[in-house]
Amino acid sequence: MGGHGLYVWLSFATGLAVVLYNLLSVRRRERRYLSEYLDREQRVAGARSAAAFANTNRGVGEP
Amino acid sequence: MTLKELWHRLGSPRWFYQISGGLRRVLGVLALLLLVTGTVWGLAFAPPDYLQGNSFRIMYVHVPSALVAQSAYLLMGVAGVILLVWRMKLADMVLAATVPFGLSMTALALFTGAVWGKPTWGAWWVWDARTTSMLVLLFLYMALYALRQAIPRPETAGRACAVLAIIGVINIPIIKYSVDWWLTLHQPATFRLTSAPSMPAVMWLPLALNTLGIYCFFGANLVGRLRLEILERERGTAWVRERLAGGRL
Repeated sequence: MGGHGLYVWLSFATGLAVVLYNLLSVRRRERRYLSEYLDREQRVAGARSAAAFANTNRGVGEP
Repeated sequence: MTLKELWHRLGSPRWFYQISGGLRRVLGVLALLLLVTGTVWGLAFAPPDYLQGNSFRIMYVHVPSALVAQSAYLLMGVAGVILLVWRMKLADMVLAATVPFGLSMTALALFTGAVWGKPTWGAWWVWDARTTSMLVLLFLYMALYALRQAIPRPETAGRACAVLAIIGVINIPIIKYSVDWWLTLHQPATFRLTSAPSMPAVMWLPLALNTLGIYCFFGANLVGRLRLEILERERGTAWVRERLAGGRL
């Protein structure tokens, strides 16, 4: 590239890096949001079923 | 749908979320096609410049990123006005979501400008009118980011950022006209609305493709960030739970 190759490729590589940063930072946040949501739903579902179990078995073994 | 109805609908982040999935995909595909074509054309098929040789190809990264950085800032200025006057929630989200993209593009424009400047002007940096006003743009983006982090109440943070965004808009015509108002090292505009470019089509067409492509990418990225903002702000509402029930966003 007439000695300017390094400058040109450096610019395009940085451009690609910036595009990827913008793309991947959104993807990463989306995945984190979804996994946090699913974790929370599992915990809530677990707590609900534990409470239901405790209620149905309340009469057992108690005077 | 009339403009008035659209305006009213935009007041509902939920409605925006529902319609924006398709929009994001279309813009993303367009961005990919345009950027790949423009880049390959600009690198492999555009002939070398008679003065600059091959270093002019940096233009295909530098110009689109500089243009979109300025447009993104203008968008934030408009969003700021909408937020302050109409208190539209989506406007605050646009204000927040545009900062990372705009900041990264401004930094890219400055970096590629420096890399282009070294073989062309013999210097990585000059305190030229355009380079300096672009540096001011970078500081404005950084300030917007820092301001939002520094103010704990979201409503107050939004309003403060809106004011800063609006005040900073004055920098955009300064950047644009700097090459006309001052005797600068930076070259004047390649494209003008009123006359044809001085370079041949085989050289400016890939620039146009890359510019359109980066704007499409901006659109797709902004919509993606807005959707995330909406999900985070409306966390716990019934419609979000319904939406996520399928395990997908």
